[in-house]
Amino acid sequence: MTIYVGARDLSGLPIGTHQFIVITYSSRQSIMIGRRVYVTRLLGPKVHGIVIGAQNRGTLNVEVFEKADTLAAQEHFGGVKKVWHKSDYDTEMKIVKFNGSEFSLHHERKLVSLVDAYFINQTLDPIRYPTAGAGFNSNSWAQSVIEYSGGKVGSNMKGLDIYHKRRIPETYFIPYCPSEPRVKLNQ
Amino acid sequence: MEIKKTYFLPASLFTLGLLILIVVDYSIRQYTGNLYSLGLPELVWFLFQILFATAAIVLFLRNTRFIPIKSKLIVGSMLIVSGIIIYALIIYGYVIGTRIDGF
Repeated sequence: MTIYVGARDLSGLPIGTHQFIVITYSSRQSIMIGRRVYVTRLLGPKVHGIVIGAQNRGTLNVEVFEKADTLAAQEHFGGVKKVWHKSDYDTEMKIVKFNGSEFSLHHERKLVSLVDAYFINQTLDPIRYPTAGAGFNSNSWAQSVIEYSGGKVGSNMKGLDIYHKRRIPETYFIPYCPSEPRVKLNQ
Repeated sequence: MEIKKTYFLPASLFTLGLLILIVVDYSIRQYTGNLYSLGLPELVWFLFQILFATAAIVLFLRNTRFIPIKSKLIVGSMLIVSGIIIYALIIYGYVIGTRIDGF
């Protein structure tokens, strides 16, 4: 099991990068996120994985196996071949390390639980998608999840991944209502 | 110097081209039933953008054949700046505004 932060081109835009998270396994797995069970997909030869990313849906919504993120992951792991006349995402992947190690079941569970909590909170207390993406966006989301799960990875990927240094407050990743109302982001 | 012919006409051509392109792209996405993918292929999408920009430049050069070089440079610079702003507003506005994708 390995956790990656992926970065891909934005669909239809010459400049801009979107970050997402990929967890890979050597065999098929089932993972429960947001009260749904997801079965890993084949991302490349002998690489099964789950792809999770925050998307621009008016609010910053987390989606599992979003089409573009999944294609970008498959492009990287060899599940789809790049052809000059078809769209591609110029995907970049960085392995996340936990206390110097590339494998940590404990941290994988922690990461999934953070995503799980965000799933609930995005319906109860959604974060507005920032105007023109300039604010807490998918790059901030991916890097926040990695940081709160105890992972270390370079946050600056190829291209213009704006706001990758911003962190969404941890209260958005907890599975219960905080004592104080959450800070409203991107308002 | 006619600002309408030298500036507004090329700028309008570029704007109109981009607007037609996003209407076609959006229609394809609506038709296929998936807004978040399956728009125009990347190659066609960017090729047409380059074509519209080239057409605007050719029109500008044709309409500024008989004006002094200094005026040509001023209007040309204005046109480049406007082109960048128009492109950002239309293309980024379309992709991010319609939630096709985002940073």
